[in-house]
Amino acid sequence: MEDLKDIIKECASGNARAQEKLYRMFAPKMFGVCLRYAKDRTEAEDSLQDGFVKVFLNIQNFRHEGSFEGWIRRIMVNVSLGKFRKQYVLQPVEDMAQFEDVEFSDDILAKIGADELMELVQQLPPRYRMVFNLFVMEGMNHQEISEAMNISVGTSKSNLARARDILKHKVLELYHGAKSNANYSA
Amino acid sequence: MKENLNMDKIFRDKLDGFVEEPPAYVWDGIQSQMASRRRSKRIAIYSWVAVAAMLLLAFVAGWYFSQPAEETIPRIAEKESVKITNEVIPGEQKNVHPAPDESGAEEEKDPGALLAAAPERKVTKKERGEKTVEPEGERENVLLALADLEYMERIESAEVKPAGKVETTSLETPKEVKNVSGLRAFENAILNENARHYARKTKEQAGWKMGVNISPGYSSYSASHGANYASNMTYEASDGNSNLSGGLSVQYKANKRWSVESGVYYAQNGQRTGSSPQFYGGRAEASFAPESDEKSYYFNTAVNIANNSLAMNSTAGVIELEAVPKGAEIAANLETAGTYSNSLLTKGELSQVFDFVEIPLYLRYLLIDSKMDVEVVGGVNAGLVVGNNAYIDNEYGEQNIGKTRDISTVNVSGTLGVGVTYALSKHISVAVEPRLNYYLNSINRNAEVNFRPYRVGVYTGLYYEF
Repeated sequence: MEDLKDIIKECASGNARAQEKLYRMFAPKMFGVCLRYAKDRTEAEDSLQDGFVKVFLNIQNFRHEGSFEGWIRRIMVNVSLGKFRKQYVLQPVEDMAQFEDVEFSDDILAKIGADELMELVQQLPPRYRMVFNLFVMEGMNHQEISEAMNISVGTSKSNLARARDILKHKVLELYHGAKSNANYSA
Repeated sequence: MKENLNMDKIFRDKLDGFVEEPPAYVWDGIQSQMASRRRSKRIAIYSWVAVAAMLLLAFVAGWYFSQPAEETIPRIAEKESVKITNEVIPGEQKNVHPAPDESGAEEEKDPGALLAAAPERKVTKKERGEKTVEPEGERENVLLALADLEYMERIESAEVKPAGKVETTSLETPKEVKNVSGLRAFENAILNENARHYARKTKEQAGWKMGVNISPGYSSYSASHGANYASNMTYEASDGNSNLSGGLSVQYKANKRWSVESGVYYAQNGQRTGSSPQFYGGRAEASFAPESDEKSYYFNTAVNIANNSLAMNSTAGVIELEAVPKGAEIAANLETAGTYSNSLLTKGELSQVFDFVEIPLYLRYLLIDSKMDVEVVGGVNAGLVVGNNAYIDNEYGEQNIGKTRDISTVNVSGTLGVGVTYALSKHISVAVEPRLNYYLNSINRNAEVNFRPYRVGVYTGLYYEF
């Protein structure tokens, strides 16, 4: 950990080697963060790049209070949030169609791999994806989300519910698909 | 509900540990983005050095060109350069008032300021204060960083809030009021910043600017003459002319800092030859002076009478006189220092005036970019002589006595200046710009005469930016 502190200090004074070291340390994890906020890999790569530039430009402001990973991660989330705000300023009124409640057991979910879950999250409509991520992954409440995304608390709540609905459906689809595939190959 | 929490947890667990190596070009992109930021900082430093070098070069060039082109034996009035008296144009600087801090005014109007929490405002204010002194590139970062910081704080606080608080906060009316405005503190900051950027954009974008200029000025010259020519020449107790010049200016702004200027200017240059002491130069004697009771000073210069014409060597060249001016006499020289046997005597002053139309090609560099811009200007002019007159001013008034021979129609001059521009509105600005204009070639083709006028003027102009 002392090592990380030194690297951070070096980065703050503009040492390119230290910056690369820091990047190598955190990029894979942060790419994971960016991926789940993005609709595809390209967008995630973009966020990761912008995020790290910001990290290097502001690293001298890091006060070594609290976790550095948390700090970097917040920057990535903010970059993604910024991109979302820029891209989806005009959102159509969401369709209020409801899926019928699906029978859903968490066992199914537990069997599905992280890669597949990531893909499902990426496939969510942008606003649902954002609300889902902020609520589930960042632990923000609806009030916070509504402020961050400039939507009402009600919208945040309904978006979260819709995101969950869609995800459940897709998980089931995936599960049944996997099962039928398994049957087929058997 | 419980089912949802479970689902959330599974997602969180699986996705939180999600690690993937990003492609290599992402790091390359980061590096090049960082490098371009460093580069733009360096360019800013280089351009200062370039401006300094340009100024130095211009002065060295001026110095170099002011050296006599030929070696001449010093004799009577070999070389003279007239010192510029410091002409202060009163009232010129007084018009320029420091700009009121508009960003402060914006701050007050900011609707978000009423709604946003006080500590948040404080942060923005401080950030903005810093921004004014920061280079362009940094500004955005600071702003983004600011947004980040606010978010970081927000997220951080979210983490320590109990989940149960979700419902209660949503019912809090004051918070709802805040939402109604639809704008939060940092968004207001972004909006304000955008507005400022937009206002600045007009300055930064390439575009055209037109203006009218007028300048009271003082013109003088540096001159040197061949020995033979000088022996018959007017007495050089010369001083310059004050005059008025002006013109139309067209500027094209190539980028934020550089612009190119052309236009049409009218300017006068010339010289004034004072009266000489009566016994100066061994020319016409005192007794030949028309009014012997006033023995003090006379214009007393050798003239050449040949082929039915009267010619006189002056500082700027040989003046061809159309006739003997009123109040003047031609007297024979008793003992001649020069080769001419007669002198023109009058109680008055000789002046030679050249009217120029100048087509400039200037480069302008914006040194200080603020409400009151400071620009450095330098370049060359094609100076076309459109008027060439010599006058004698004596008790009969100012008489046009003829013109100067061998004056080149097309000449080249260099200009150097520093100006202050104050924007009155988005399109209209006023500028005050002291300029030095110096002729790089002798405007007289005669090999014996090296005459280079210069002019110092304070150009005051009104500009319209498209």
